[in-house]
Amino acid sequence: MIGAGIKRGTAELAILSVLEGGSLHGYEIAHRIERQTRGKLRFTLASLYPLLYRMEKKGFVRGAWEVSGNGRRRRCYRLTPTGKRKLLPLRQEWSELFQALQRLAKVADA
Amino acid sequence: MPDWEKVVREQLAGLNLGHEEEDEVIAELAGHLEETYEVLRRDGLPEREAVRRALSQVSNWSDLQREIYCARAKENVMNPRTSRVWLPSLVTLTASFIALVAFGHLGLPPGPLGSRPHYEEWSSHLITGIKTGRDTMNEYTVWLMVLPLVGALGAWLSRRAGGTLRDVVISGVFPAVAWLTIVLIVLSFAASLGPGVETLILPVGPVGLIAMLVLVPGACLLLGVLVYHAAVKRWTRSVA
Repeated sequence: MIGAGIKRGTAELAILSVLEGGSLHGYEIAHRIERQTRGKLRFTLASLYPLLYRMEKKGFVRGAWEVSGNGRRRRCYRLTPTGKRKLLPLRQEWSELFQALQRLAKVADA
Repeated sequence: MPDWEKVVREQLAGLNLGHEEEDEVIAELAGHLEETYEVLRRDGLPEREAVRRALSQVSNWSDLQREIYCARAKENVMNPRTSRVWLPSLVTLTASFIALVAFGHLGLPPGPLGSRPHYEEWSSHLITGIKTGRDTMNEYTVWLMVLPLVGALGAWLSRRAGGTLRDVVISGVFPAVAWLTIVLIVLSFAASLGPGVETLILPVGPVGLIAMLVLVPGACLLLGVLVYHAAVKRWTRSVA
């Protein structure tokens, strides 16, 4: 299981990544992240929405009310151009970090 | 199925974001809970268990309220410590002081413990009362009876601003802390002036003074906080 600190750091990346595929509402964002990470990253209502609102304030995502097929109103989030620009370097940073950690682990194992 | 909007609205009662924005947040969170609940029901969970699991996504509504407020508010006009501790503490201190002055000025009808209907200044009255130990007992008793309400008021204000249990307790009993400081200053001052001045606070003596102005009022304030806290806990459980 991944620790809470790392999870916090990767949460933004996870949300930006799933929104890359199109707009989603909060529940779908949480569900998709959980499914795609095979349960390693899990968002609850309490952890998801404050983060989404912060990201919206920073201009990375934008939420708008939409009516779904079953007539329900849902607030759907989509990536903004700022969010798209943020995603690439963020991915790179985390990728470099994980590679560095893997190298470190291999050295320790050897 | 619970009315999810009602549940969220009640739990985030002190969000203070402005009506429109608050309604949006409540509708969004309620939608999330509703969807979680429906998926759990489709998975075959009984209604009660599905409600419990949906609500278990939030372990502390006060924390969530605070985080949402910080994330959505245009700017934080007040830092969290001020709104959760200092402001409610100031309100309880002022309320307890006003109650003391009001009862002193109004003058209560003579009671079983004896009281004078007219006095001069409240402070001299209070000192006289402390000196004689009986003079102001009626007013003092009524003041003590009001203090649980003052404590509960502080607790409510602190919780409304997203305070933790510690913040809530501090806000509720703050007047007793302030009184303790005043008493200690007065006692030190009196001691520095010599033994003659100390008679001013007799016959109750330093221990009696601390008991009358700090410990007993503190216990009354704490009682109000605890009753409020127990009521909120019970109410939260019934909503869940």
